[in-house]
Amino acid sequence: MPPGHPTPLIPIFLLAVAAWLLTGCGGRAPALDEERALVFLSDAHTEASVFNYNRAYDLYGQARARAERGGDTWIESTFGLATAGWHRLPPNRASILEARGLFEELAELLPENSSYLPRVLLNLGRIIELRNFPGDTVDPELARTYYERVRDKWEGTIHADEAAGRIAANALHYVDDPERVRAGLEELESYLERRPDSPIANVLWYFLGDKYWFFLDDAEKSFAALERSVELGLVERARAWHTFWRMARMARENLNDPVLAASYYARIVQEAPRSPRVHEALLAYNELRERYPDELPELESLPFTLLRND
Amino acid sequence: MKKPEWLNPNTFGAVILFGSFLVSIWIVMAQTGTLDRFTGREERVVRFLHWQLEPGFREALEVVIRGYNALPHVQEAGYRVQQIAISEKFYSQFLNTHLISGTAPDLSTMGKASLASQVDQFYEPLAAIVENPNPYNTEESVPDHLPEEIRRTLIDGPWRETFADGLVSGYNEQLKNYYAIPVSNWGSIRFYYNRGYIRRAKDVVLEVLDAEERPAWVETRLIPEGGTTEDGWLPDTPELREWLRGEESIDTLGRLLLISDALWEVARRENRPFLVPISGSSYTRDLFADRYAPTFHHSLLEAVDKDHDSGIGALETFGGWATGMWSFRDEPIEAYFETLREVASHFPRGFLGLDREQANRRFIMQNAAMLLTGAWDASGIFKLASEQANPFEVGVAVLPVPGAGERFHEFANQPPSEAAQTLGVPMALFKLSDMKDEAIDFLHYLTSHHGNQTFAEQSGWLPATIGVEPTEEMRPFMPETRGIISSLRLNFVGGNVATVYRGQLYLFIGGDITYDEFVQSVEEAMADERMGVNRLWAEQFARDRQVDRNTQMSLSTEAIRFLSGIDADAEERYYQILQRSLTLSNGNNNRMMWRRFFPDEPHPEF
Repeated sequence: MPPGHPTPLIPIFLLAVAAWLLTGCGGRAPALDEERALVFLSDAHTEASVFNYNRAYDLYGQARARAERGGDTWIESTFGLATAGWHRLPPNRASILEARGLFEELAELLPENSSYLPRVLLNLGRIIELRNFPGDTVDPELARTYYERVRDKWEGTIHADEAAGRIAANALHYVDDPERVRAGLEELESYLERRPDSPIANVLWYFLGDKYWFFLDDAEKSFAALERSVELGLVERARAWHTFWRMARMARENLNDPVLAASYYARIVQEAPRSPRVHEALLAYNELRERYPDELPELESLPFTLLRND
Repeated sequence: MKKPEWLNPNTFGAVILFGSFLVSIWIVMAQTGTLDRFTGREERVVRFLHWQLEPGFREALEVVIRGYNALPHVQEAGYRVQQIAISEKFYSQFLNTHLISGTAPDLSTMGKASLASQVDQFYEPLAAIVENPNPYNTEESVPDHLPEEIRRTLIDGPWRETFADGLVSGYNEQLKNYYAIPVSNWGSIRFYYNRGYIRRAKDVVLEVLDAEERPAWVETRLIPEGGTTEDGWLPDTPELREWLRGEESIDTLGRLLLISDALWEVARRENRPFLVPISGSSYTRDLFADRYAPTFHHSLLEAVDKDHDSGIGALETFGGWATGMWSFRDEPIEAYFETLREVASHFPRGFLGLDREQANRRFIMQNAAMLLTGAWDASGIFKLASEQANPFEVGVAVLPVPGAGERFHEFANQPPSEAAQTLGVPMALFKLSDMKDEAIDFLHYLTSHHGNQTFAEQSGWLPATIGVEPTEEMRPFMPETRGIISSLRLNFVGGNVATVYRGQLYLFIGGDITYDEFVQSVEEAMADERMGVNRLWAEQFARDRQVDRNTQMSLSTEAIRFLSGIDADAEERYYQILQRSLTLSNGNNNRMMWRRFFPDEPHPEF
């Protein structure tokens, strides 16, 4: 080596370090390791449960790669990977196709008695009928087939109830075809008549009440469905006034039953005295009471202020 | 002796700069606990971040914090609570930075910071905690004189029921969980007035009413005998004269305008060129516009509320306008804009360039007789008014609506309702806090009957807890539940129409353009094929579908939670959120709304 020429030791050393580091970047899949898979899975659940889907996606991937295909950990991590892939940001065609592919893989692989299968099928329906990214196309017909499969295979379960609701909501894609919308809503109504004990009957009746009015102008059916939901117990009890207001208006303007309308105005005053509509409900009630004094008693409970300490 | 070269003003400046830097570092390290870590005196601190810099709030909070820090169990556990107050201007930047870096304070006021809207990612859900009673409300601590129902609720009821709004303000509709604990109450928007000025203005009106020749400002304001409301704003009645002689506050729109006219006369007579009737600003302008909207719009709303959902959305507002259900030529709408302009004519010149603080200062300096702002400014205004070299008494009243016999009373006689108002200063618990139990314990203390009573008394803010007495001077700020809630969404949702509407509205109420010019500009913007209502409808469709997808994300998250066994309650929440998801209907409500208004036209696409 000529004098003054820099020694090649440093570049050689750096190259060696780089080569060593690159050995870790190989395409080999990690070895199966159930224990580590479970650790990754637990971390992934934690991240997903706080909406951190990008991080969860990586962790579910790590768990899935280490779990034995078809085993419980693999199923759980594949379901998680598909869910995280669906919701990680930013969504694009590739990420949605990958998520859908993972759900489809599970749908083919899982036995009929798997607790994951109905949820996988429902998710497949949803991923297909939602617009997941700008330019995404939706396929309501295909989505419906997944919902129908759940409704028919898991009859008498809450999964079937959810699927029945999704089928009815799916019919609303056909806004321009009122007959098809009506058929979809009536299908759900018949389902609920056959299964009155569904734990989500209140949710589904509320949905029917909302849509019979807004999509079909059918005040009678809408009112009856909302009444069923109120009887069963509204999900959003704090916003019960909102449903009562709607029912009062329907009874008064569409069903021509002012006394029935007054009963719902009264419910706002008495059951939701802190609601924003309380004053208007009281005015409306009193106006009706002037016309029907024999049928409508004076309201005893006057609205008190928002602050109960006043 | 020759001065050393380094001894010059630049060196002096550099030393000051460096010294200030060191002091700042010291303060930051001391406040964040870093210094304690270095010195080995590390202390466990629950940090309480907020942006309430109004006079009284920090001092009151400090009193409550001192009381809490002195509790035996807190001393024994070796931690303390510390408040961090940040200006509203920097709050968002500060909190966003710390949320993302995982160093956010244990408790922070929700809102302002954009990242804070990602509630479930950064904040702890509180549903399980708020179902249990507040341990600081005991048989001994809750006063006996309270009504038994309230007393039992405070002692035995779930924590959420001890809040005046039932903790609606802490509830997240989308996530079906509680994420914040409000510790106070923003209170309502009210008219503040300088009692002395109003008295003088009333005297001036009384004087000129019986003058042989009435000045023009009275002639144009009062309805002449035998005239109609088209000839003036209010009638000259014995009731009006009795009111002028008395000390009652301004209670109708006509009286507000009459007194405002008189205040210009007071300014002229007292040679006070800077005195204006109402201390208007860009902030005040929006308050008037928002507050008067339900009063003037409500007679038009029922037909427009196509989905009977009790509110008028932007699409219903557009659709109603496009199909002639309402127009800018309808009497109530014209009256609404005329009222805004008439009220704004009593603001100072150039009010659009003034902000809230400048408006408050003008009122305090007695260069304005009236001011419209919220309860959050009350204690500061009362205090500063009484501390002036020439102190003055401040009165408080609700924003008046047209009274009987006055112009517009026929269709605009109901005040806006304040019943939808929820509690304020919602404190959320940072998910990564290592002082969660301690932070919740402090919130229990602060919102207990005793803690909130102390806070309300010291701060002059309205209480958040039931059974707590507001101070006497804060009573007028209690929400008024009588009134109308809905209005047309004339401010729209965004895009070019909203920009044109706002710009033209400000020009109109500032007196720079006529109503015809205002309407023409707004209607042209709404009718524009590319940038008008159709585009806004299409953009709203995209947003609606995105909301549905976001709701699906909440459903998926709840599913992961219950399937993995992380959260046993998640299944129940899943089916609650399902109702919302089904009702959103993949965004098809938007298409249906279009069909209801325009059955023969295709849904707009861009």
